[in-house]
Amino acid sequence: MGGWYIATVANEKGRKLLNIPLVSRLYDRTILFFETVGSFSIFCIRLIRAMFRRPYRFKQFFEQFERIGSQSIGIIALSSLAIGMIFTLQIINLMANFQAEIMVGAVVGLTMARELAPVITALMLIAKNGSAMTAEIGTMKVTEQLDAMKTMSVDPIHYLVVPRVLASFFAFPVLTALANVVGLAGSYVVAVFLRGVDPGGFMDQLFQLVDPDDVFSGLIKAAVMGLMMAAICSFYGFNTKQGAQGVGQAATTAVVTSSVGILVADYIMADLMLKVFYRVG
Amino acid sequence: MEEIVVVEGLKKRFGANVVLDGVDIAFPEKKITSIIGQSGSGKSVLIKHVIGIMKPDAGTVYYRGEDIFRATKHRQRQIRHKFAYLFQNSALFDSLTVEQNIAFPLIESLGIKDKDVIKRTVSEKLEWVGLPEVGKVFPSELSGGMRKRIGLARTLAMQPEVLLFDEPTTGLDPVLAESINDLIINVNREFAITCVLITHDIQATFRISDYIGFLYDGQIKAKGTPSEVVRSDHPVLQRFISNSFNELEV
Repeated sequence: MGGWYIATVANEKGRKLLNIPLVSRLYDRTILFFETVGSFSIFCIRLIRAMFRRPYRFKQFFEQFERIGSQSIGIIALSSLAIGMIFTLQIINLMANFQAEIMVGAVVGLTMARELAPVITALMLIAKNGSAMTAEIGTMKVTEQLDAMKTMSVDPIHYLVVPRVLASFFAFPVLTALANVVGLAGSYVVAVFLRGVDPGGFMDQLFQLVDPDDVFSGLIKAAVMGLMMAAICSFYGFNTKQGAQGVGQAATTAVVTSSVGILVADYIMADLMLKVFYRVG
Repeated sequence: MEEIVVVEGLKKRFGANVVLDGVDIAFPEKKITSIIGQSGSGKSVLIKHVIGIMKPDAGTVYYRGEDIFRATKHRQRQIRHKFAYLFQNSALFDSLTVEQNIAFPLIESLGIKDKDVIKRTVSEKLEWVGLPEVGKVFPSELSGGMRKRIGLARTLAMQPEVLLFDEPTTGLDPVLAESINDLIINVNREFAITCVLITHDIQATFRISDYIGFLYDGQIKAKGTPSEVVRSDHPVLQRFISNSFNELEV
């Protein structure tokens, strides 16, 4: 059975003190995975039901919208500006080989609209707001504030999660639209002012090749990613265990899971949208 | 003596760990009942079943003869409004000010919308717990004793019939602990609220309680008035009592 063990701890006399069987560990991980998927599904069902239940919490919604939306404008503008400028710098050299520098606006615009803007926005907001969401709800969990709400007949999912999920759903597309505009502005500056591309040609190619559907598909993706981030991060907050260390661990897991989750979802949505919007495949 | 809450055959286990193994106890109306027991004996778990934030594996809890766990969701919510719970660490919402904390159950639980009524009730409760000046302060700026008082003010704002206290004096110095115990007596006398305490502060328990239950090994091993409980021949309870009162003599 030696091959089935992944770790063996022995004392100085060579006697085995601890064996961790690989099969058992894999089994535990699989059970844990399905348990988490099951709990998350139940959490989502409760969330959907809570969304349609009165009272509608406009105050909490706008508070969260301000935190996720307004307070993130700077970071989203800065990151999308950098992405637009760097991407242009890289792509313009490649296109120079084909004397097609004028196409750079269209290439950056298309990539930003369909993929880069929603993904960059989502990843930045997961880092900034997702981790905070988990930590805030997780701290409330370990200090029994969620239990206190329950004793007052207030559903914590209705009070805490629904406003966050809806605020993310609406804020993500708005910030993605901003990322599109700022990213293109960065691209324009690099292409036109630093690399001498004709401004008329830049804009002409951009409007010819970038369709409103491209922008629209990116905004839909952003909205779905917003929903996913808020639901996943709140779920991990609700499942926080044991004090400050547990809060940190929950925040890390939430950030990793939602980042991987939105990338997987992005692939699936990209495939679907190519079929729906562009009749490809 | 009418019993407002009756716990019957309550069982709860977490994995292989049996915490409650058929608890039977009744809480008389408008009296102070204390549940005593060792740390980890399941006192908090018991009280969380009474307020309905945990569901039992077997057994049930009756409120005025009505099975809480068999009631409809709507009725459960109505019954829950009759209860309030003061958590061990007060569980104040740290993103809200003290005023907002006390106003929270008024708005969210009782559905009061009139701002004047809310403001007046908040001031009354703050006045009652002797902290009229801390309304605009956040809970993180308060001491442990002050947090307990604000927690009590928040529970009183719910106008409960039954008030559950989870270790109300744990972590407080003797003077503060005494003042919290006095507040519990005042709550019971002034507002005629049934008080249920879980504690391992034996001396205070015998001073303020009308009835006592001793939880051990997942069951209530002794119950009755303080004078009845003190005569119990349960060895652990006897050790519990003698240790506490010996400490007092020292």
